Amino acid sequence: MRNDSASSTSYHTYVVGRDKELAMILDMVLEDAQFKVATSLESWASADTLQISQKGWIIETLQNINPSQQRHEDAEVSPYQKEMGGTIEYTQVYNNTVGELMNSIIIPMVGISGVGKTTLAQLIFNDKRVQKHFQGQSAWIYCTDNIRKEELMTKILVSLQPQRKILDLGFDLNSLHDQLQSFIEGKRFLLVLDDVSDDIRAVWGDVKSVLSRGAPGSVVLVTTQLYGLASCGCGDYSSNIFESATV
Amino acid sequence: MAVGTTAPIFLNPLQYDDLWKLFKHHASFGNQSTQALESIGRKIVDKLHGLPLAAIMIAVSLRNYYDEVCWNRLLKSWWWSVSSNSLGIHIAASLGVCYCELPAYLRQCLIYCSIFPRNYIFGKYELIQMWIANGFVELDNTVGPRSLEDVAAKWFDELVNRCFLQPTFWELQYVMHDLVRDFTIALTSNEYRGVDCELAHLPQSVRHLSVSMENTNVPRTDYNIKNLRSLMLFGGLRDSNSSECNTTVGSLLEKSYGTVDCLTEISYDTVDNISEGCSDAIGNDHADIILKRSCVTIGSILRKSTCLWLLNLSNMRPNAALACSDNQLLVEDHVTAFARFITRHHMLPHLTHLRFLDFSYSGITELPDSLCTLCNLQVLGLRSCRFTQLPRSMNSLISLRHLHADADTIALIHGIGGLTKLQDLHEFRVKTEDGYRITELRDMRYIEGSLCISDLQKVVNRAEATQANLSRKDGITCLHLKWDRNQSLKGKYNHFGKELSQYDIGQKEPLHVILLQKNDIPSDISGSIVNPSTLDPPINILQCLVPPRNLQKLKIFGYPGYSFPDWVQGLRYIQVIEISHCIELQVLPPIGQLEHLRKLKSYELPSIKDVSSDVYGTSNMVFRSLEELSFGSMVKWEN
Repeated sequence: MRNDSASSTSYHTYVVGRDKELAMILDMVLEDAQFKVATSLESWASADTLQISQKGWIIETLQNINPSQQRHEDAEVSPYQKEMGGTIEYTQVYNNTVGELMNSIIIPMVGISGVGKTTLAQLIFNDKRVQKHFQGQSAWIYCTDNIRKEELMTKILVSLQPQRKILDLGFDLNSLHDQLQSFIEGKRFLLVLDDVSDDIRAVWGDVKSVLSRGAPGSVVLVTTQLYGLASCGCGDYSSNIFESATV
Repeated sequence: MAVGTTAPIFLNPLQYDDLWKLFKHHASFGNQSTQALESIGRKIVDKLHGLPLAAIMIAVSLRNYYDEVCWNRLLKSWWWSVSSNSLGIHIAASLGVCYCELPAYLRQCLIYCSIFPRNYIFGKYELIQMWIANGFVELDNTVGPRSLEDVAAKWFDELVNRCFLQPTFWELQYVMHDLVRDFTIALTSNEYRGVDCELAHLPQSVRHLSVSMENTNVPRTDYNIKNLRSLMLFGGLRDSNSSECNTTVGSLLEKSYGTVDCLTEISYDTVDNISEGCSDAIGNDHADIILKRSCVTIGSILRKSTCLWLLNLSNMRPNAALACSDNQLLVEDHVTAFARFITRHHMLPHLTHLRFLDFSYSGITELPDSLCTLCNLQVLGLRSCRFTQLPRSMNSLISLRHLHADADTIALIHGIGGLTKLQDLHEFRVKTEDGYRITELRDMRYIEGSLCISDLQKVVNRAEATQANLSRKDGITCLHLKWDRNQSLKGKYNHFGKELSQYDIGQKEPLHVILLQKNDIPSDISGSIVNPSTLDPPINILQCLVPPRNLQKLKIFGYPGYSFPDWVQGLRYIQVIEISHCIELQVLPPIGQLEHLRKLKSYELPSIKDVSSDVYGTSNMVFRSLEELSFGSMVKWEN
C-alpha cells in the first residue's frame, strides 16, 4: 500500500517578516496599485557584478575550500543586511504618470537565493483572493536553464489549461505562438515565472509580445536573483521609474 | 497594448527576530522548550545571516531531537567556519550542517539528484525507481517484510521533510532548490556529471551521467567510460547554428530517417568513421548532421558502457509529460529518429545489466525482439508510445517490477502473466485467445495500487475467473471491473429493437444466453468460436472475482447480471463504491452496512426499483461514514 507524504505546498508557506512586501504585491495584483522605489538602488545594481549572480558560484567556492584548513571556532557574524543594499523604501504612485494603461504588468521579485522569493510567490499564488480575482487563469512555471521559446510557451499554455487535450501541439513555433496568443487574448491571467535566469533574455521578446495580449490587470510575477534582469531585462518603462527614483 | 514592469520588489534577508520565529516554528519545540535549548537555538540562528531557507532546513534537522548534546553538536559543526569572500556563501555552511545530519543512506540518494537539470520536476516514484535500479536501496530486515519501493518511499519522504526536495503545486512532483542543487554538485566526485558537463572532458571514472542532447554535437567517439551505470538524456536536438527553430521538422524527416537507417545497418567501425566529411554523402542538411553526430556520440558511449544499469530517454522532449496529457504524440521529429536509432542499436542486447530503460514520450513505434533478452530489467517506460505489435516474448523480462505504458500497449503483451514481479498493471484487457485470458493474472501477486480489468464479458467460465486469484493480491487498493457496455447494448436494444423502458424485466433467462442464442455467436479475432453452453452467467463469474479483503475502492461498470454476489457486503475496509451502467441490475447489495463507506455513486441503473430496502439490509445502523451519495439515471426507481 502506498502512503504518499502530504504533497501540499502549504506547509512550507509559513511566512514571517514579509508583511510589507506581501501587502504591496497584493495591492499591485488586486488593486492595480503602483509603487516606486524611494531609496537609492546603487548597491543593488552593483550586487550583480559580485559573484552571486554567476551560475555555479557556490560550486566553485565550495570546491576551493579545504576542510583541513578550516578552524573550529565561531565565525564572526557579519551584518548581512548592510552588505545587500539595506532597506528599500517604496512610495505609492497615485496619479498614473505612465500615461498609458498597461495590459499586463510584470512584477519582479529580486533577492539572493534562499531569501524566500519562491515562498512569498507561492503565498500570493495560493491566496484565495488572488485565485478568485483571476478565476483560475493562473499558471506556475519553474524556469529551467537554456529554456527554449517553444518550451516556455508550451509550459504556459499547458499550465493555464491543464484540462485541455493538446492534440496538435508540436514544436512549430508559429502555431504555438498563435495558440497561446488566441488563448490569452482578452483574458486576465496570473503567471508566475519562478527562478528566472539570464537565459530568458533570448526568448523574452517573443514571449512578452504574446503576454501583452492579456486583458488589463494581467500579472506576471517573476522571481529572480538578478537585479539586472528585473530592472531592465523584462522592462519597458521600468527605467523611467528608476530614473525618477534615483535622481 | 503594452506590458509594463513595476518597480522590483527587493527581498532582504530577514531581521533576527523574524528568523528566530521561523526557526522556532519549524523546529516545533514549543512544548519541549527549555532555556538551554533556546539559548543554543538563538546562537544557531545568529549564524544564518537572515536567510529563511537556512533557518527552515536547520530547524527541521533538529526537529524531534530535543537534547542539548545534539543541538550543541550542530552548533559546533566545522561547516560554520566555512567562509570566503563570496557573499552568500554562508548559506552553503548551513546546508553543510544539514547534510551532516543526514543519515548515510540518504546522502547517496541526494547526491544522485545532482545530475538532473536545474528546476527539474522530480516524480516521486520515478526517482524511487531510479534509486532502486542503481542499487542504492537495501531492505531493512529489522522492520519486517517490506518492498524496496516501500523503503525508498520512506527515504524520499525524509528528504522532503528535511526540505532537500520541495513539493510543487502538482501531486507527487517535487523540485530541488537551486542552492541545494548547487551544494550537492559541489559535493560530487568524478563519478557524477550533470547536464552542464562537457562531453569532451568526461572523466573515465564517471558512473552517473546526464547529457544534454545539445552537447552531443561533438565529433568525438573515443569515449572510454566503462564504469557508466546511469545515462540520462535531456533536451531535444536543436540546430544551434540556425537562428530560429522555424525549420519545419517535416521536411527534414525523410532524410533523417534515411540517415538513421543507414547508421543502424552499417557496422560499428563505419559508424565510428562517420564524421563531418562523409556525412555529406548522406545529406547536406545541417540538422541531419547534428542528428547523425548525436547518434554517433551516444552510440559510442553505449558501446563501451556495458555495465549500464539505467538508460533514460524520457526527458528528450521539453515538457513532454504535460504536453502529452492525451498520451498522443503526433509530431515525429529528430527525437523519434534518435530514439529509433537507440532501439535498433546493436549494443542494446549487450547491455545485459540494464535495469531501467525508459523510452517514454520518445515517439518510438516498435521494439526490437532483442529487448526481451534484458532479463535484469526492472523498469520499462513506454508512456505515450504507440505500437501495433510488441515482441512475442515480452514476458521473458522476468525481473520487471514496473511497466509504464498505456493500456493499448499493455494489451499487446502476450502472456503477461509471466511477469510475476510486476507491481503496477493499471489495466488488463481480457481476450479469449491464449496468452491474453484472465488466467494470466494468476501469479501476478505483487500488483498494487489500482487495477482495472476490462472486457470481462470475455471470461468464459468460473474456473477462469477463479484462477485470476484476485483475493490473493493484497496490494490492490482500487479495483475497477468493466464489462463492455456497447456489446450488451448492441445485442439488447439495437438488435432486438427494444427501448430501455419497454424491456421486460420479468424474463429469467440471463442476458448472455439470450444474446448468444439469438445474436451472432461471439468469436474472437483468431476465429475460434466460444461455445455458449460453457459460458457461466455473469453473477457466477463475478462471484469468483472476489477482491482482496482490504480493498478501498470498487468500481463496477457495465455488469450484465441481475444482482451482486455476497462478497460485496464482506468488503470491510471499502471506502468508495461506484456502480454504473448495469442495465440488468435489479437489486443493490446491502452496502448500507459497510462501516467505512464514505462515497457511494450509482448511475445508469435502469432496472433498479427500490433502493432503500436493498441497501439497508437487516441492520438499523446504516451508512455510518457516508459523506457523499449520488444517484443518477435510474428510470425505474419507484420511491
